[in-house]
This record gives sequence, structure tokens and C-alpha cells, in this order.
Amino acid sequence: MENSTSSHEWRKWLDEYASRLLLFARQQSRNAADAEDLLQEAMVEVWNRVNHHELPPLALVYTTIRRRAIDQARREDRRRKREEASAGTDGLWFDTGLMDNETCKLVETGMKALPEIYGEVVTLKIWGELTFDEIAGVLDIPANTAASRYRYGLEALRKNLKDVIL
Amino acid sequence: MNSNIDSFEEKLRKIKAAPPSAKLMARLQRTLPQEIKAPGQTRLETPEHWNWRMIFLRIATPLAASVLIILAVKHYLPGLTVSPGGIVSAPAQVAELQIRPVETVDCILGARKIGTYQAPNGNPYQVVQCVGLNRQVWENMKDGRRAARTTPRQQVLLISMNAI
Repeated sequence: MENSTSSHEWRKWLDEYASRLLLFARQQSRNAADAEDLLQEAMVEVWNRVNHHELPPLALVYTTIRRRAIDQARREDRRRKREEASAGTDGLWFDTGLMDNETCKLVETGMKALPEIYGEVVTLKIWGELTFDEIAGVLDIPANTAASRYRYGLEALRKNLKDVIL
Repeated sequence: MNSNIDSFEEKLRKIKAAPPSAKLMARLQRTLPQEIKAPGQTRLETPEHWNWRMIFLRIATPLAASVLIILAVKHYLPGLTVSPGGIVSAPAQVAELQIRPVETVDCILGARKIGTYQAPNGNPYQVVQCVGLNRQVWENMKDGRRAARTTPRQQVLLISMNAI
């Protein structure tokens, strides 16, 4: 009797959520390579923590990415020189197949310019499609704080991008 | 003002997160517990003088991007046994726990090939011995993440070791 999550189900789950999880990982880490490691590392950890018969809860994956990102940041100083030497090009955060390259790059720049506490809420809300309650759980903050950070963040981003999107 | 924000929000939603590369998707796919089980039994022949401090078994998979490494470290895996003839065995559950996908294997720099192993299912393994790896590297590897950055020279080493 085999009812563990199948390879096919897992692939479907990844097709649905991997891009948004990767975007959050990118926001939480220094470069694309670290973001990929972060995401993989988080998935391995989540699978170790959950029942293998069910697909992992999305909010738990976001939470794990964030926690591992904090660990990664602590290791960062020791690795910085090596990373800078091998950094190379960093991939875009957004899909240039659906939107022009320039807009994607400007939105990415606008997002990076936001204070981190706003940027992560905006990412989780807009591209992660989480509720404020879920965001509160991921970031360990009250839901009202998540909502107000979202409003401030969105307004700041709109100002940053007024010539690009509006 | 609110309608401006709503409109802005809508426009942002039309911009989608960049999809992960096929390589990353393959890495993520292999985080599924069932995907990281050993393809064969954990048994191989080794020289009698083998230093069991740290040993990697390399699984050559059909896809070039698929790099799986079994880490069998006697120091951390007391279940491993070595018979006088050099027959090494480990409980199956140990193998399941220890096989993790890794993207690069720069940590095997300094390793030497000490044999090959044909699994019962036909999968060829390359057995390499590694020295000088510390606990931190092990911790990184067993979690399935890169132990360190890869240089082009290390990549060449990886490719050459893949061809068995």
C-alpha cells in the first residue's frame, strides 16, 4: 500500500509553486546561486519535517526559506570574497517571457530598493499569493503589521516605479 | 489614491516570477524522499586498506545534470560494517538517509578513485575516497547543498569523474 506523495504530484506542486518560492529566496539571499541553494536546502528540510504522504504546506516552505536565509547570512561574511569572485551574472527575478525585459529589470530594481521589511511582505502578498494571516505566520509578526507593511511597501514601490508601470 | 494603488497592484500581479531553470527543477524534484532512495543495495567491494574516514559513492545517472552522491561516512554511520575481504555493507535505511542530491562536488577535490561498483539494477557507481573533509563539509553535503563554490577546474574534475 503505497500512498506517499508521488513523483508526479511533486512535479505538479513544483510547477505551481517553484517560481514564486524562488522569487522569495532570491529576495532573501545575495545572488541567484545562493537563492537556488536556499530553496533546495529548505525543501530538504521541509520534507524531513512533514508527513511524506502529503505535499508540504506552502507557508512552511516560506518560513523555512526565511530561517535558512538568516543562517546563510551569518555564513555570508566568510564566503563573501569567494562569492564575489565567482558571482558572474545574476538572473532576473521576473519572467521576461511575459513582460518586457526592461520593465522586469526596473521592477526588480524597485523591489530591491524597498526596505527589507516591506519588500518581503510585498513579495509574499503579490507573487506568493499568501493571505496576511499566512504572511504573519511566515514572518512571525502580527497580521495587522503585515497589512500595514504591505500598504507602505506598495506605496513606496509605486513611487519608485511611477514612470514604469503607472 | 486607493484606486491608484489597486490599479498598481493589479499591474504588478501581471508580472510573473521568473521560472526556475530546468537544472534547479531537477534538484528540487530530487528532494522528494522517494526520489533519493538508493537505486541498488548498499554493498560494494573495497580494498582492505580502505580508510573509512569518508567515502563517496558516485552514481552515474543517464542525465548529465543528475548528480547523486551517497555519503557513507563510517564515523557518522556506525551501522556500516567492513568485512576482512573488504565487503562493505550498510543498512538500507542508512542509504536512504544518506543519499542526497548535490549540485557540485568540489568537496571531492583531492579524492582518488578507488574502484567501481555495478549495482544489481545495472547502475554503475564510481567509488572515490576523500580525505581532509571536515565535519562542516559533511553537514553541508548531507543536507544536499553545495559545500562550496565551484571553480572551472573543479568542474572539469567532476566531468572526468563522471565518465566511467
